[in-house]
Amino acid sequence: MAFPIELLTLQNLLLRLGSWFMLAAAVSLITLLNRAYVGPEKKFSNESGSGSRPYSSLVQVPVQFVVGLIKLERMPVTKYSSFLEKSEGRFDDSCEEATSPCAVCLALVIASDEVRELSNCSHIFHRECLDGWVDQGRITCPLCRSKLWPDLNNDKSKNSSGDPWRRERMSYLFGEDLCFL
Amino acid sequence: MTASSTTSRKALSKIASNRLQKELVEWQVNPPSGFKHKVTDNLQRWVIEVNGAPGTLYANETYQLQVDFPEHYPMEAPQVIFLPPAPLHPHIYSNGHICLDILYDSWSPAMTVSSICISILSMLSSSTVKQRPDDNDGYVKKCKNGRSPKETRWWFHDDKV
Repeated sequence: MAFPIELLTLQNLLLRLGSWFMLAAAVSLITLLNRAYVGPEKKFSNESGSGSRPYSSLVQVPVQFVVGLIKLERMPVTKYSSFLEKSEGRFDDSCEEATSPCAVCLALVIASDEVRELSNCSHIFHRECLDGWVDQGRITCPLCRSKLWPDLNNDKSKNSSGDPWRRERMSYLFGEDLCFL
Repeated sequence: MTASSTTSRKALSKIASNRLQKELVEWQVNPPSGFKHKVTDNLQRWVIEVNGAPGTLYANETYQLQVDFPEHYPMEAPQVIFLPPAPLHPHIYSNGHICLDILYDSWSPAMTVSSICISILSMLSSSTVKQRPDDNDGYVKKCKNGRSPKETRWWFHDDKV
């Protein structure tokens, strides 16, 4: 599945603004639905205690928003040269080669190229090569298939309810300043 | 015939064409053993000869693979099928479609034509019976309209062969 996300950073900004309209619609719809269902029988009333606020997993988060947020927060961009400096301690021979091939485009990654730092493995791809893969909705390293960013549900048991995008939904709904975890 | 099914393909993107050129050079320098690329001027469709590995059920047999690359290769997997006659194998349908996860859900852009070839030869080599998949006739009938295997929702249920 290819998602149309060419102008990601710009689009992201626009999306944040434009999305409040969608959000308002979604919230009112869900509140309405909640009333319709909960009103007569009080079926879900004691589930969260948050009153009329919709349960976060009911609110759809646009894929572009999630992908954009992930790219910004979870996979910081760095120059390959500074990546090498940082990892010199960990890998003995990595400092010898200022270049190595990117497994996605098969072209060399040179010191001045931008790369993304991955959290679960040390594989290196050109920023745009990895972004092309993430834009397809893929979340694993092309080489070792480890997750590109840490599992969100690892360190919390409460409030997760098996919803991997909870944090994204929350920050989409209420802004990134609020901390929900 | 599925051989010429995908005719209205989009041309390769610049990225795809660069990457394929690199793969082609690498193949010429270091071809996977048992495979021969039939040279054409079409970078978007490769036809590759496969020789069954010695000591396996397919020894001394030669088959042909057809690899079609999408516009956004390698972000999307190529379409890989056997040209008729396809080898008799529990995961290969008589129309040439191959039930192999890396060609569909488990594709990764770090894979290459060469690595696909090795996986397919390994799949052939580990087979213990020469037979078609159980659902061969039904599946092939469904594909009569020239459906690509990439449009099939595959269910990968057997990791032994």
